[in-house]
Amino acid sequence: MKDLLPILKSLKSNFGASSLFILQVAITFTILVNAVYLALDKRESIGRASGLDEQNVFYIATNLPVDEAARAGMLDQDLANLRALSGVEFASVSSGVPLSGWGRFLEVATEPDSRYDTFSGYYGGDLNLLSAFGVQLVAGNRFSPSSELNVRTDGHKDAIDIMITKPLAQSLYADEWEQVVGKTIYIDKKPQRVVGVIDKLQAAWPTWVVVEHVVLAPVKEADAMVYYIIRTQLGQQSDVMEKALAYLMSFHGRKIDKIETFEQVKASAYSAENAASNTLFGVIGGLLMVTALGIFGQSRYSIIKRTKLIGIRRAMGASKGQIIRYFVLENLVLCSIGIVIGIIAAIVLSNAFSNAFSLGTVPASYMVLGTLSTILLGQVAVLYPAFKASQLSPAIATRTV
Amino acid sequence: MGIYYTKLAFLSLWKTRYMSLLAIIVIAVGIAATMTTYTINYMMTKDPLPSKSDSLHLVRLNNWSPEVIYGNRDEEHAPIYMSVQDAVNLIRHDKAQAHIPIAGFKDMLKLPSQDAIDAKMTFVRASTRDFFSSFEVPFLYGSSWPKGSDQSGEQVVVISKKLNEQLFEGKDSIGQLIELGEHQFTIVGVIDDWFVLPRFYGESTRAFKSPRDIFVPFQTQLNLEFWSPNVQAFECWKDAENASVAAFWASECIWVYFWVQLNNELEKDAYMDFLDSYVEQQKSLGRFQRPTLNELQSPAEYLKEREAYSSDSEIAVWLAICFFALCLLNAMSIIMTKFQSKAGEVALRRAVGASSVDLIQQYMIETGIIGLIGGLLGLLLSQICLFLSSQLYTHLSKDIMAMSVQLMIVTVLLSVVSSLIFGLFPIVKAIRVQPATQLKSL
Repeated sequence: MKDLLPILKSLKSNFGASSLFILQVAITFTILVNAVYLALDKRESIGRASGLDEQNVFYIATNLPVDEAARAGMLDQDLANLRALSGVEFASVSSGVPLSGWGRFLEVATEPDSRYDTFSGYYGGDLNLLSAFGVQLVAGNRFSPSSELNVRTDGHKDAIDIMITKPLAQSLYADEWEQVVGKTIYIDKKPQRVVGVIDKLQAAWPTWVVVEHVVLAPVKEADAMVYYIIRTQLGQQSDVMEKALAYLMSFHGRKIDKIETFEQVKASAYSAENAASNTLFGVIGGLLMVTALGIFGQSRYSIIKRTKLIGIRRAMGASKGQIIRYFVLENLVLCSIGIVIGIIAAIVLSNAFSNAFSLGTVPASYMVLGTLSTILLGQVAVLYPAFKASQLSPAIATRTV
Repeated sequence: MGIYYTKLAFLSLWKTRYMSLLAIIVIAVGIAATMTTYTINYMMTKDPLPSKSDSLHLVRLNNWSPEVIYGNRDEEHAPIYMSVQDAVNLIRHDKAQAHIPIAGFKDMLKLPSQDAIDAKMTFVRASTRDFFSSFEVPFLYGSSWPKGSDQSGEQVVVISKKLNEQLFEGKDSIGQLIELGEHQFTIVGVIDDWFVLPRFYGESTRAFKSPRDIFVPFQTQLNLEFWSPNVQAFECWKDAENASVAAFWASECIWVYFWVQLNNELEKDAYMDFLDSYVEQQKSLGRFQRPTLNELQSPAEYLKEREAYSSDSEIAVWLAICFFALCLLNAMSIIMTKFQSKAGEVALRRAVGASSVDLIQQYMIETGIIGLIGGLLGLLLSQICLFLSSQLYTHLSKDIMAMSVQLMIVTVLLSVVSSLIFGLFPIVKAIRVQPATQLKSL
């Protein structure tokens, strides 16, 4: 610790180079903390569970190539044949696919006259849809077989029994969400009875504020275009996809609009977030590299400048360890000053970002971790120059520069 | 003198080549990061059609249920799209320079010679011939369809260069036939490479994706009843009379974006008056029971209202600018180290009569050269980064990841100017040596 005073004094005499160093550390810290926060924020939304059995679900968007009157029959026939394929666990029809970017949204209210309490996504399908998605029931019961309805289009208007997701139930009834079972709520102003609550299921738009709000109804829609949701046994997916396609294409006039695995749906749903977080990680990597190089260069510079002084200290009896300690300590002092400025700048920047782009502000834990890693970076970068300094021979003091 | 100083600068750069190289690399990395993010952000937020941004307007009519405000908003605004009947009426009244409805559908596309199994589901854009003239679409072969096709709804198409390459190997395909669903269409034009970014005229969620590959007259879509409710966003406050497409066309369901070209304020005012009288007239027929809130919105206003711009790209620019500042500080300390070893030389030159201005000039040429090389290297690096981004940002059109010549010049200039500014401090520090003390120790 007795080195501290000389270090502070040398800071004063070497003001230009020191403030440059401090400024660098401060900027590094500012960018580091904000970039890591933004990148992890994106990662978190990508990592959210959709509620589906993601690995084993795929969907086919196709038409029903028959007259309008015969469509419901064709739908049942398709479903029966798809279920019969080996490797298929469940096959169901749905009015939409989670995270696909295309779907319906509804207004949900607990009272008949109120405007709306919240919004929700919607999927309608047969009784199997729950199992085909692979979602879990956490309260209430499954749909009774008699509650299944057949319509041509806009099934959410005809639904009688519905299920809702737990986040939706919580937004309506807070902690007493389980009591929603058996209650009547108003979907687009039409009364519908909640028979069950499902753990988790996402709506069609990944960046939607209420993406976790979903209403599920046992209403089959036999419209011009339908979505078949197929859940396969583990490892059978590509096999089943081929067989399902071959079966569907055996009808004249069949159009396959899309066939995608749910993992593909999810990847394209989050491609913007993915790209942004990868870019941020790239920035962070470049940042750390440049800063480490900078600290390394500056330490070398300050040591070369003080070669003679180091020689004198060595000649007067300082050990190699003491020389190393001096430079490591100097680095620590400079980094700490830089970090203090950096914390202030990071808070300012984070507030500016959150005002301008409606993001959250960086939490304090990021500041602590940022501090630790910046100090570590500084220490690693200074080690080699400090070691080189300790290797200087005391005889150097006797020479002129 | 300049040439001599340049020679000296190169000599000195060579003497401290590792230091100089390091400074150049650091500057290049900073420049590359800044310019890559800036290019992406610039391309995303730039004016899509500078020559037309003042004259194109989205027509918004307040067609919604008498009972509720459209979208349940606190402040009432007209919907962004309109019903088929209004679009058809506005075209028929023909009061604007150009009428551009933006409609569309999705159907199976194939050549007459291909089997049904080879047909591909393809998005089709339906509009009028004004689409091509007002949006300045360049043609490779042929041209847009004649006005008659818009009125009668003929089965003609304009296709993109990309689709022409897929179907006809890039050959002149004018007069060839293609099939959409059960109908045959004649190709009348092939579009050349066409960049319009952001693509303001349709759904804001697709503002950064490429335009559709196939275009048909709006009237043709209506006549042939092409309708894809599962891919076309639409909103209805009143159900159509029955489930048929014809009833949907006649309904109050809104889904057609409608742009008009009005060349000056006078025309704009006149068109506004026309819209008011049109709505009044419709009101007398029992339609438009909400307050009249007609609006003519510019492309930029529309994109902004729909929040088409992602904040990510702007955040990235700010972070990159901070990063660039860091790189410059870093380069500054490297240059400082470089000049530190020059103390002897400085002292000698001062002693034989060089003024500090002479020395500043000389060393500024040196830092300027570092900045120039750093800028050029940074330009190269940013091209690589843009290429990598185009691989990474698969959800955006590749056209965004392209740097214009102006931006390239700005890149190099930015590098030179910032190196000169940040190099000034080390230079001033270096030439402040006392000649006498330095010379003594030589």
